[in-house]
Amino acid sequence: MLLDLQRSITVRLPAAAILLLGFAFAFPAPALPDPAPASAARPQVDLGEFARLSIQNEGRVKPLDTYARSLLLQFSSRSSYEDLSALEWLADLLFTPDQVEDRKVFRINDYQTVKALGLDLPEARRYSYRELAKGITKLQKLSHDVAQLEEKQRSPVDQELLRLNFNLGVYQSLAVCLRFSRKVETFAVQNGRLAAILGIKDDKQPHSYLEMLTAEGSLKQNSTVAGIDRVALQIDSAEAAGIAREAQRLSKELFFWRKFSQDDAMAIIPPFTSDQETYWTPWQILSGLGSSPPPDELRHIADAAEAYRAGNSVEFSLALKSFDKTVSDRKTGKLGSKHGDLEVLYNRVQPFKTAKALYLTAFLLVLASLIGTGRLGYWAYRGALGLALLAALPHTWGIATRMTIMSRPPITNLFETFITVSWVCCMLGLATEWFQRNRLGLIIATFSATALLFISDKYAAEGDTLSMLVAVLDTNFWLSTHVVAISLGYSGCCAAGVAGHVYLIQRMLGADRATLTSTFKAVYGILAFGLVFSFIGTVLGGIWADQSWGRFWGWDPKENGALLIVLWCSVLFHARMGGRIKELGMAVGSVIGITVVMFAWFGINLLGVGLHSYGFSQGVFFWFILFIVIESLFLIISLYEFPKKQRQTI
Amino acid sequence: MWNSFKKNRFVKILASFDVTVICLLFLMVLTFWGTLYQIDYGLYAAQQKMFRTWFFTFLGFIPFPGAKLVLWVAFINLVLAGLFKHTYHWRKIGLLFIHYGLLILIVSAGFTYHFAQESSLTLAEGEAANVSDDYHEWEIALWRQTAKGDTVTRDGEAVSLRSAKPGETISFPTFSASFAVDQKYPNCKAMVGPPKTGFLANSFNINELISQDDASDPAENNPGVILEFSGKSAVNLIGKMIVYGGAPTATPIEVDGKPAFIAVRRVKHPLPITLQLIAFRKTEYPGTDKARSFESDVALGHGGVFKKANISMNKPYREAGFTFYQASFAQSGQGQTSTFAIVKNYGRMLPYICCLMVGGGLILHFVMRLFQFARRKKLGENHAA
Repeated sequence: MLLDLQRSITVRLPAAAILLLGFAFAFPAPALPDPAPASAARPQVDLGEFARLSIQNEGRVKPLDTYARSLLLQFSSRSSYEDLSALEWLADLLFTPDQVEDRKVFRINDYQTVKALGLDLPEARRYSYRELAKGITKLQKLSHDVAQLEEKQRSPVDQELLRLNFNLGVYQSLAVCLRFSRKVETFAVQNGRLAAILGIKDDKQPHSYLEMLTAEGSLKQNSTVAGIDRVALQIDSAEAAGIAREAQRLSKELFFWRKFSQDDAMAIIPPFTSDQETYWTPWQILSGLGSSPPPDELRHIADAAEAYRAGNSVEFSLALKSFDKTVSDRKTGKLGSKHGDLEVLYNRVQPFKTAKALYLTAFLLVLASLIGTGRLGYWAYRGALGLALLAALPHTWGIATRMTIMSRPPITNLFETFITVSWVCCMLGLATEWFQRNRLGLIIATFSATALLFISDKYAAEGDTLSMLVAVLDTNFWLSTHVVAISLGYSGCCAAGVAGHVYLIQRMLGADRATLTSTFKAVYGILAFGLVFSFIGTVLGGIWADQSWGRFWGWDPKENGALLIVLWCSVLFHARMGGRIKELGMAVGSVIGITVVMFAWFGINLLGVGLHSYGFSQGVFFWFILFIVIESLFLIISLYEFPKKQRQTI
Repeated sequence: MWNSFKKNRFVKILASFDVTVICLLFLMVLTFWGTLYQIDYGLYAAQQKMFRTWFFTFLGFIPFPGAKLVLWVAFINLVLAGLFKHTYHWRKIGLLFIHYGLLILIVSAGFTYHFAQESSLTLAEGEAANVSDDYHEWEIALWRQTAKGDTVTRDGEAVSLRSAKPGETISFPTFSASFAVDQKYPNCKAMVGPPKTGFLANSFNINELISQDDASDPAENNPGVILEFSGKSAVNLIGKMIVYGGAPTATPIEVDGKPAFIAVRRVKHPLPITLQLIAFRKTEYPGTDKARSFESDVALGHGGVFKKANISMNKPYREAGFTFYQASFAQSGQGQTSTFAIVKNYGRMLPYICCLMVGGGLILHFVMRLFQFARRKKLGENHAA
């Protein structure tokens, strides 16, 4: 049975306004067509195998697809470059580095940073490698100085310099990492006799470092006149000197390439013995080979690179498959990421993006159902309910997949708190809807899930959100009890806060007593849920602290944040028991409760000194303050505008 | 009498919800304020100023209740509410659990605050000890040591640094030695150089102590004293002596014609066992310097009989009311040291009991109310139909 909200014009107008705004937001205007898309004139190669390739990065073995996304996010705060996917961008950078130097991928949050580098560039959000390359020497010097400072003393520009220096370092590393596979003029054997000695057919043609490396022993042998077997070759000393000169040149080139090709980013070659865990980058292997021949893995990578440049999709995939086979034939264990394919699928599906769009549409439909009368309203409500349930599917799948990939409970970092709390809010809302069937639960579910998933996007911009845990957090037991309980507490308080907003809006619009009371019951019940789990989570946190640090409580900021939530909820319940506040007070209290939760959740992190990523934290701080201002205004307006006569009855 | 007590106006107020709400609000303000206060002054200062005091003042003169006072009032409020307000009915069993659990929590906090003893122990690989160091309390110790093979036995006595006041005398009766305290520095740094006139040489060539402000974490303070031989004694020294808490080795002196050592050191607490560090291991995630685990292999000795154990992050070792935690480490060219935090707290199980009671009570109450609500709703619907 639908317990109808008032369908007065006062309900419909604001709902219609939000609806319009929401649609504008959900379907942004199409971007202007780019005169020359980045995808033009680049090799069209199927990257399926490439996406699945394993790389070890930030302590975790992950598919290259994930690495590409997090890297591009880290560089440019975006997960794609123009019309290219992150993976396509990475492939271009690896295989054809000199053709992509003009791509503007380096986000600089503070223009002062560009000025500090002495570069004469216009103010922009992103710069290309070619633009920044001139400032690299200065950047390295400045970063070196900044690194000497304590974290507390670094200015935002200092932080930005460090970040840029790091990013450029990774970029350079990636640009050289497959250099060994490129055929270059440097390694064209200019002496036909020497080419014959080395067994190289196409003399004077470019060769790759890898090809030349197989001849290194022979080169060394022939780099002195004395070492050349003149009798067998039937040559005079002048000719021998020519051979030796060329052999010397090539040897020297090999040496310098080895010496100056620094690459510590592209760790894609699994360890060769089962007692090791660290993956190798191609150049780490190449510079440590000594006189042994290069492993087959490098040959396959070189073949793949060659095929990519030639735009040969079949050979590219084949070479990568051979690489994979060579690696798995070694049987050294711990190979590849355990759920690599699942992770690639997860990246492709982007479950939270889908869920977000569905929740938003469902929210708009709920609003539509408030305006629409009769059948229209009924079907809008049905549609909203259906969409909310549908949205919960990818949402749930996303969380479950992350848990499977990492073999962890749902929450191990800040990003995951948002996706999990939004999920719980959705469930609480749906449960309320099941109890009350009057759209309130749907509003709670769809609004809080949408809002929290939007916030989660901000945190996803930090890079790979599937991150490894520092030692003190490395315990599945506490992560699945304390952290989950605290998040359930957050969810309860947030969902109750949303219901509190609804209560105040309904009251402003002059809703009847029964409607208000039913909304109040939802506020009360969900807030109680929040209190229960906040308290349990806080005490479990104390026990965890007792287990790992030897004290139950130490007034540490994060502990205090959790305590604040518990205290605030307790204040509300006791004040109500004591008759100091009634329905309205509870609703206002639950609205304030959201701010308390936000403070405990990520406000605390902003207090800390030594913020890691300046642009990001500044942004969060701004939004946090803006949120408090808006909430305060909302409370003032909602409490002030109401006619005095009715206020006394509540 | 019971009834008159119950009806007493003051008691009524103390047991009221208003007092509960006020206490909770004060605690909220304190928690929030204490959190912000930490940014500038550090955790310890916040604890001392706001949480461990009855009262404190801000802006120079405005008084504000400290957490100690607020918690005491909350405790009384809870007890009185338990006596007069709670209805002892099975329907309220969840609420009763919650509030009695909280009562235990406050008691356990008080117990821990007054009786728990925290100390630390740093060992190099291979090293063993049966005493630990206090974090904040220091002492002036005088001892003789005899070496027998690898085992060094120290016989001596110690005087708390707190009791050593400039101008007064401290004495060590077993050595029949006493010293006049010339200067005392709660936190100071030491300068190295040739001894000044009238000063005796010390093992680390310290010739001057310079007073410093307290560190934001007082555990980082390094106190020092300047002592002078006083009165009759067999201490063979003439002149002043600098004893610095930050010096890595003790100062050798001669007492009664025999060699002895004097040092300012952290108060030593006896342990129920001998702890020997066999090896310390730190592992990182491959290819990064992000710590994956810290662990120490240790041998625990009970009167000469040792057994092996492992202490790692989140996996402490417990025995006889003592708990040993992996707290810190240091790595250098000379090898590795591992630092353990040691807590002696006989009340450490209390929060666990409280957690079970309150958590269980909250869930019980919540579920009971939920069912109540659902039943009423159903009744209401039937009624309406």
